[in-house]
Amino acid sequence: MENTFKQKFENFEPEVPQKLFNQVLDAVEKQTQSSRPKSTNAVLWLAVSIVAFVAVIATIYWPTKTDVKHPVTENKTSITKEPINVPKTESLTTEDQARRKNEQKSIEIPTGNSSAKNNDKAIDLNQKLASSEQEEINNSVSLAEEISGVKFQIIGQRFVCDANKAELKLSKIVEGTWSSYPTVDFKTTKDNGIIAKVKNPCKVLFTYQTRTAQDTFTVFFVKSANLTYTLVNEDCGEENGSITFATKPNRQLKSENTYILNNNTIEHLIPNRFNFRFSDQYQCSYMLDVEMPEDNLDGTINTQAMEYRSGFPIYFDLSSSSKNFDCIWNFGDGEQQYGLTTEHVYKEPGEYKVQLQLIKANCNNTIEKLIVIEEAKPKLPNVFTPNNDGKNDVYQVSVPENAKTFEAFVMDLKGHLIYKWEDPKQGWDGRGLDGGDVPEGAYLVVLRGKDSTNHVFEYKSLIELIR
Amino acid sequence: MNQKQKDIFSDLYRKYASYLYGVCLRYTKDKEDAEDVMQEGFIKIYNALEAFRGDANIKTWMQKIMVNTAINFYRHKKVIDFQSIEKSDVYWLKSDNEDVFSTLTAEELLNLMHDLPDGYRLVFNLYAIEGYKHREIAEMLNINEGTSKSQYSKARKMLQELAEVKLGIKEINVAL
Repeated sequence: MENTFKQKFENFEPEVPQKLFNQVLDAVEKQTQSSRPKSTNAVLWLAVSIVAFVAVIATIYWPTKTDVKHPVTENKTSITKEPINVPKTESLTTEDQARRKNEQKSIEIPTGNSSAKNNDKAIDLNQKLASSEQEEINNSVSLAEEISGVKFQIIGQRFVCDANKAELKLSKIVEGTWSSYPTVDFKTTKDNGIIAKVKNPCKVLFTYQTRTAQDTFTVFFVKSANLTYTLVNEDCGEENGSITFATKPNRQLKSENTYILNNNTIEHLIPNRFNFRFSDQYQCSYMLDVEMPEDNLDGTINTQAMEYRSGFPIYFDLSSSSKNFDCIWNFGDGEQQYGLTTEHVYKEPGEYKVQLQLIKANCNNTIEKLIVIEEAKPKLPNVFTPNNDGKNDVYQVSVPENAKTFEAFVMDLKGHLIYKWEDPKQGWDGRGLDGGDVPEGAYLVVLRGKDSTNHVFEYKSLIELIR
Repeated sequence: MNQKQKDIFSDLYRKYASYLYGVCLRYTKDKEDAEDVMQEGFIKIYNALEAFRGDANIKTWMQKIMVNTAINFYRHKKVIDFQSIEKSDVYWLKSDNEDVFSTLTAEELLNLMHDLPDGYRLVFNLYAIEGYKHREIAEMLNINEGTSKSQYSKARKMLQELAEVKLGIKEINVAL
């Protein structure tokens, strides 16, 4: 497995940024200059050579360079056009105008939306929203205008989490027109409100304008953040655990139940199961069920095996109250494994001390179990009754599962070969090589072979044939 | 730097920069860091060129210098965090699924590695790719052998998790 990782990178030669060579050369040059006085000639020569070299490099790399994608600029279009639908009226304050200018600069919308790459872009955008609009959130509350006795107000939800629709209404029905910046799809409802749809997280400014007045309303279409947490139970013990939450993109979390958040961390927790509820500054809410486990780094090692013999797999697992830690198994023969359950094949018989190291944060504990591995020995029955009664009619032996080579002989007591077979699944049915039944009596069975670790085995057994 | 040195150096750079940049990318979290390490490493290579024994493999030798530079880079930044980043359900619910890795290209794996915490990435690189033993890694990084092992196993699990997430088996974000 590790070899695969190695192989993957053996011929991994990504394109080097071209500017890097000059940087490296400059750095080396700077360093040599500081230890040696420079001559103007050398500097001049250097400059010439750098230019020449860059030219060479450029010609070498240029053809491949054309289809190189620029991940930063790709898939993005900046909105630089004037907003089409924003009505220009006297009632816009200069502050409003300044704000709109900023919007034009800062809002970038990814054009694609299917691949993971684009998904990342959406997050970028989201992050942008989070950082650049934060101060504006509080003062973007819209004010009703009252001119010539016409009073209306746009009502709606300012933050829309994980949805693409927003509905806005008017407090009073007054004839007028809706517009938005940036332009989005919207549909007018019966009561003169709108249902607006967007595809990506963004901030949209909706304007309703009547003949004499206008009102604006900002809606933030935001994605919920990806909430993760880090659990620390530092004492290796029973209390004072803490949970630190992180969100991507960065959001300010407020706990909705009673826990006190300090730097996104909740401290002094005892081992228990907690249900946390949060909301962020966009009023997106989050729920998280977290278990602060007791760090009970203890348990017993269980083993299971068909045969506790060399060449047979032995299965290991652990009984413990908690499983929230990392395990390192040392099998006592120099081999190692990770994981809660594991298996191991001992190559040689012997007595092994199996050690299991349980690790969690700063805490660790080692538990042990002694295990005795016997020599891989086939089972050799000593009585054989090939009388076609369905019982014990074929003489079979069990050999190590992993036997690489295998052969078995039957000899009479004078040493003549009676029968032989090489497939462990087969056996002897009491007939000689010529196909005739052999007489009752004592015979010698010899098994020979190598297991997968090239350990040679040879067993002999005297058996009695009775019909 | 005289003409001859410069020629040798430029030659080395042209021949191996691409491969060594790959090494730098593996050890760092992004391209900027990789470029820093690369620059630093090449300065060291230049300084050590005279001491280079002709019988050693120059590619391996340069790679070793890069690796050491990368280790020092993070050590100086004091950002190696060998504490575990516990996400209680990650490390034991899943059995190790090697298939996840076998289908990945170097670029894809690299992309996942960039998301690893620095400590995990360092140990993963040294053990799985460079082929150092945990004992040697422990010495190099001045940590316990056990830490190296557990960091490695966590790195594997986390990579697996990342691979699954990025291959689309799981969604990270709620779709808008």
